[in-house]
Amino acid sequence: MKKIIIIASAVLIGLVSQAQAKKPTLMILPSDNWCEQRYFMTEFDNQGTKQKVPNYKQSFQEDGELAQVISKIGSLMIDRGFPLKDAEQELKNIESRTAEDNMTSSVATGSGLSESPLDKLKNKAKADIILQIWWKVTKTDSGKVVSFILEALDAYTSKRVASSTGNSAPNSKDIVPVMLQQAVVSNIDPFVSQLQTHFDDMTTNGREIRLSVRKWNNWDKNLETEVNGDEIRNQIYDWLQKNTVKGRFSEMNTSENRVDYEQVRIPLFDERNRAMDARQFAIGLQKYLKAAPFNIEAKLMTRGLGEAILVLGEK
Amino acid sequence: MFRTAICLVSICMFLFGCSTPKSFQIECQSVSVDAAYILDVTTESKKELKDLNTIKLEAIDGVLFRGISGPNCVTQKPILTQSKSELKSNKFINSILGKKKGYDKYVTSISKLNTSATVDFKKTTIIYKYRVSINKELLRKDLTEAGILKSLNTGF
Repeated sequence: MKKIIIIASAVLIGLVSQAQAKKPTLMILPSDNWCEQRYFMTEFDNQGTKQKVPNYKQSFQEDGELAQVISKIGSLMIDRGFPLKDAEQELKNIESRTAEDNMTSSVATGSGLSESPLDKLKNKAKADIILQIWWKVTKTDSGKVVSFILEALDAYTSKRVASSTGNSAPNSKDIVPVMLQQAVVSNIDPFVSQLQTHFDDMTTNGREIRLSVRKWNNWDKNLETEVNGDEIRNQIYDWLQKNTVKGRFSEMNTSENRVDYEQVRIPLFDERNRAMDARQFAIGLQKYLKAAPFNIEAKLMTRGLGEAILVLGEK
Repeated sequence: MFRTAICLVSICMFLFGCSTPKSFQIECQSVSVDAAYILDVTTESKKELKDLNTIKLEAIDGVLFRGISGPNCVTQKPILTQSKSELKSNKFINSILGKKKGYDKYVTSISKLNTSATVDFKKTTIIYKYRVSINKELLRKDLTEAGILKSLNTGF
């Protein structure tokens, strides 16, 4: 009898843990415009092209209001069961591993894939949703006015999934940090309800990613080469049909050298209940192409969490 | 006999009409840093309200079903998306809005602000204004626990 109870409890615990999916993780950052206004920008060399990108580390270290706003949003999100990832801490981790992050090139040809500092942060922190905040304090004749924007961006697709914006009434008695906190609490509810809609969509239709299949120039085949009587490109299409949620994806820019897939809806978790991102999903396709009858080696590269690029021909 | 009855009913209706406020207006004054709503509830009446529970109930009803706005506030949508009639048989909603006075838990303070009178051809109407503070976060939390509001955690 005792054994039966123990076995039944174990099965029940197993079922409960299987039924519960892992929560999406959220991380908060100041918006690009906010960083630009406060001169928290740095130059990033994107394969020869100079690009201005936010210097988050500097903003966390030097701006006093930012910490207060993040802390307020953080506490409200904790109340809703969603603690935020500490972006400042993640940035420190990235800094200590900069050398590692540069190893995204083909072993054979040395071809590389450039990642922006934000892509690196997304990759390292593995946050599903990036919350971006922006505010501006304007002085008017009747007092200070705080304009506030809170946005949530899907880290996988960079799509805006929730947004709340508002202006406070002119206020001459409260200090700016108090006005900012009021702006946060006034805007959080509509924001959270939009976030809820996105989560509902994600649990029903899967996570959205982008996938690109290309070929190395020195490969003697292309995507129109036939294997077992059908083009490689068509067989990749069939694999995606089988492995995406409800077979949902869109094929774009198709040629013999390259196929891009957008709005690829991947399951939130693999068969072992591990969170799945673009890389994990593309590994499945990489293995499929490596096996017979294809026997194709492929280099897998990623950009952020939501984009995977598979280059056929060699690693 | 019939005439007397009609007279009595008319007198009762008149008296009832005089003591019961006709309408309430809710205006958001501010949202505090701890997410409490500071509301001004205005009502017209010939007599001052002895029981402030009506004011509290109106304020909670406004926050739940009608939403609140005001010149000093970012407009706040109603907490609930369902209508009052949809939730009329809900136990928790009935406990908040019903005779059990559950709304009391969420009203952190209430005070009379001022009165002003308007005289309009034989009739004097007094406008009473009350300031009510509502603990919105606690209300939202309890509604989520009661399963009326969906938690962000749902499905995870």
